Amino acid sequence: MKLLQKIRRTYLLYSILIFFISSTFIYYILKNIITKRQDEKLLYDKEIIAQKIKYDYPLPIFDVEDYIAKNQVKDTLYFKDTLMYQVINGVENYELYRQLTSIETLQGKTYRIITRSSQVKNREFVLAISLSVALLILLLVATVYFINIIFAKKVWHPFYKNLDSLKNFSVEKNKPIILEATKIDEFKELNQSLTKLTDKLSSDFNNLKEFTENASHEMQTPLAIMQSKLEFLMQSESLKDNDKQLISSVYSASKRLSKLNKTLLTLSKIENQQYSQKETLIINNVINDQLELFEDFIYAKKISVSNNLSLDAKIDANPMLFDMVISNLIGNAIKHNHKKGNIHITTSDVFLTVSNSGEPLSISSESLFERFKKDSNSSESFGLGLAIVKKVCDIYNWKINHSYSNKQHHFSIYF
Amino acid sequence: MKILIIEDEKDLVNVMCQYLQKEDFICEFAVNFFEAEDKLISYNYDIAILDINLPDGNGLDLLKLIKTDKPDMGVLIVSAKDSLDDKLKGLDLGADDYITKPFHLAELNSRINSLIRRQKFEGNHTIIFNEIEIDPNAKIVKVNNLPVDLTKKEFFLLLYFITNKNRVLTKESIAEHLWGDSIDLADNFDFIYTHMRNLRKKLKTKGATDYMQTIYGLGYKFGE
Repeated sequence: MKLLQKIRRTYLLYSILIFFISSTFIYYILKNIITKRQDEKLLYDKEIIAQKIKYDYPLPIFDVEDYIAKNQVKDTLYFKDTLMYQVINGVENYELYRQLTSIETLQGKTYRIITRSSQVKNREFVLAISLSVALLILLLVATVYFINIIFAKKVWHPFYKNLDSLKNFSVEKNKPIILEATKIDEFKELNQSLTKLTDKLSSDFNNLKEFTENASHEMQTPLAIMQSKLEFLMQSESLKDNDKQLISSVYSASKRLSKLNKTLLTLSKIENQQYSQKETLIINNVINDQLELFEDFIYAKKISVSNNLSLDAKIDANPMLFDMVISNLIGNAIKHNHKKGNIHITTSDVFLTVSNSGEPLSISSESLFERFKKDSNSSESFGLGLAIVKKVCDIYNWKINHSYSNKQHHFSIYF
Repeated sequence: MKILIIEDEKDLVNVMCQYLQKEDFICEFAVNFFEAEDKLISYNYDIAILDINLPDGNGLDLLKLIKTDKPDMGVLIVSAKDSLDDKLKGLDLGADDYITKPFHLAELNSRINSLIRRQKFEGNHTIIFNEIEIDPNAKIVKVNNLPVDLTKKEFFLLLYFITNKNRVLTKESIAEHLWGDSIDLADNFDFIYTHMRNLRKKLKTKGATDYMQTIYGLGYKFGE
């Protein structure tokens, strides 16, 4: 849920709740106050009547019955709401009255004094006041709500704008993040922290890249010396078989090291965008060239290669990078194939798929493209080939994925 | 044949010199820009092996100097940088070939030989090793004057062996020479063996002596 939406919803929910509570509250308070006033009035009326009985005794107007006396009721005083039957202008009607019943012993006689007053007017009054107050509250809530929407949008605008910049930020692009200036202190602080963070990130990333490149680079020369000397040593006539074996394994290890080094260097070069120039390449030609290079390997494993190539599919890319991608995909398809397996290559303007028979992976498809991740049963490779492929795909915004079905691996690139 | 090696790593220079001297090249070396400039002005060389990264200057400037003063000199660039830019720049400035560190000495030798062939004989030069005769330009191999039908790979394999005769060649160096180093299937050297076997068989049926030897644990050697 979006922040503004969340705020709006919460606001609305509480407003409605408060609106109902306060309306009811106001209604009851008003009603209470008015009833109280009415009761006081009734009491006052009763008191006047009582006074009259007391001092003007005997009552001139009332003929006093004395059935109450028989009941020997104690003095009481109570209010109640009661409905009275009335006929007003020929219309039968029950009207609500507030009634005070008082039983009092005055001058040795028990009287019941009932005073009542119509509540209809009061009720209408309370309702009218409550309604108008409620309407006022409603209006207030609505106004504040809309002001809130408009204002919140304005206030949060830099936040959303910067969120977008942050989303689009990538250390690999090597561009500093551009944040929208704001007058709000919290956002200002946020911007400062973000700028600091991304700057640090960029500089760390660049240092790391530089380090990788420099380290690999500096290793080339000592490796060259090592290998040359070993090759030189191999020419010696006086070597024993044992020595030869030792030299050979040192040599192989140094070869592996230099290969690893070269691959890492290639990766960091791709990252440093050193292969920037583009050409329009005919995908088919690249694939056929690479297949020719791999001819011996394909033949050695007795792999059958079939393809479904779209003849004029073209792609804009750096020729070296595209060669690397195709070479790694085909190389992989051969390496992780079994004897007498098959490879199938499909191309079109929008995608390229290399499929090959082989055992299922022991690692997940996603981690396959990570550096140094490799299937456990291929110890000789570095696990960098697919990392290179992925890197190139990232640079050109191509999508690559791996799937496994019917004992076939499929690597697809969507341009 | 006089070769000038311009390279600041003394260890590497020594081993390169030793290897090339065995091939009857006369080797001299310069370990910095200044020294190299000095030697290039004072003496004549057939080939210069040039490292681009020198402690006191850029090898590409030396290349410019060579190409203006001594346009006939062959130049082979050696660089630790496997960068396309440097390579193109070097070749544009008139370098004849480019090799990246680390390299095999046999590969270096092979490149120098092919450079010499191109330079001195305009490619019309046959290499003769006893009864075997190779025309690198026309890619024809003859044994006792009878043509042998070789595949491309077999041809390059034979040429590589003959250029580096009496040398132990590792499987790695052969693989790199034939397939380049972009292909990383080093765990499978069977195919080298296949090509070797076919080549041996083809040469043998034309009556050539089998000069190929397997050197236990190391690789192969071509020689008497």
